[in-house]
Order: sequence, then C-alpha cells, then structure tokens
Amino acid sequence: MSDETPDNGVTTELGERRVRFSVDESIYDLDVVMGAAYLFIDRCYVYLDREADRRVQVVLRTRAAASEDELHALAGHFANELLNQALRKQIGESNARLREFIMARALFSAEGPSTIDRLLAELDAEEMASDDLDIPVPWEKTPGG
Amino acid sequence: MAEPLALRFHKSLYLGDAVRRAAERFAALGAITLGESDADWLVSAVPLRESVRARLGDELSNHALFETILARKGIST
Repeated sequence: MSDETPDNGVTTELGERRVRFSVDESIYDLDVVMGAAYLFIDRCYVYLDREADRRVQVVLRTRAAASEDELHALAGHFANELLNQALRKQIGESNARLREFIMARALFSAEGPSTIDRLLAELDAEEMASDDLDIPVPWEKTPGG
Repeated sequence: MAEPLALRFHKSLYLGDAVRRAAERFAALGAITLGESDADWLVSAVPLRESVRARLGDELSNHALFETILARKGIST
C-alpha cells in the first residue's frame, strides 16, 4: 500500500486494514481528537500515539478487510469529525457566558422576592415599629372624637 | 508458549487507570502484566490462544482509549 496526500492536506499512510495520519494539536486540540476518536471506536480500532510535541498520530484499523478507497474514506470521515467536534467545542465555549447568565437569572428569580423588594419591606417594618418623636397619644382621643 | 504481545500507550494521551481497567477487562484472554516507562504505559500480554493474539491487542487498545475518553469526560464505568 502507499503514502498519499489527498486534497484535504492530511497525509495518510495506508497499510493492510490500516490508515495512519497525524493531527496538529495547534489546530485540533486533544479534546477534539478524543471526541472524534470516541465516535470511531465502534466502527474500527483506534490507536493514538504521540508523534511529536503537539502532534498526535491517529491509527485507524478496520475490523475486516478494506480497500484503499475505503481506508481513505475512513480517514476523510475522521477528518470531517475533527472539524465537527472543533465547531461544537467553539460554539459551546462562545455560549458559555450566555448559559451562565441564563442560569444566574433562573436561580435569582427562584429565590423569591428580589433583594430590593426585601429591603423596602424591611424599611417599612422599621418605620412602623419606631416613633422617633415619642408623642403620647391619649387612648380616649380618637380621630373625630 | 506464545510470544508476548507488547503494547504501549503514551502517557500524554492515555490515563494509567484506563489502561489498567482495560487490562483487567481482557485478563481472561491472556496473562497480562503492566509496567511503565518515562513516556508510556506498557502492557505485555501473552494470549492464551494464538488465534486471539491480534484481536487481543486491538481490542485492549480500543478499550484503553474508550476508558480514557470516559474518564476525561468525568464518566466512570
């Protein structure tokens, strides 16, 4: 079998039932590589190795005999999945602040009256309880009496 | 006696606990011993039958990766 560089720029090395290529971690970080690998574990045997600093070598081995085209397709699908996982991660990160805001709002409104409402209620209660001038009011005298 | 199968898993990619769990999972198929070097987790497996030799290496490697990914996601098996 052969080494080939297809149009997507991923250099693949083919062997019997096996395709091997490397992933640059400065483009796809390890979480992304692991996310893609997870989806291929059911389809084939996946082995990762450290080719160099910041480069992960991916070896995909089919469970049954496979043609060169099938091996190239397998590598291509993995490359697509890398892109998919990277996009999912990016969206997840960009939405993180929005998720935090929505969660905070939900917790805030779930705790009952707002802080301002509680403060106003406390001030009202204090005002009712205290009489700073201490003016005596005869109990006989009633308004209009 | 069959030749031992030598597998290695780079420490920056595979978790040691995950490799150990994978080895335990396939212990029925061969005599498996664990070790380590500076960079790798090492697994030596002597398959009980020569017919399972290739499968043992592939399946154990796959399972070690599976366990590693789950552990990284905080999921225990």
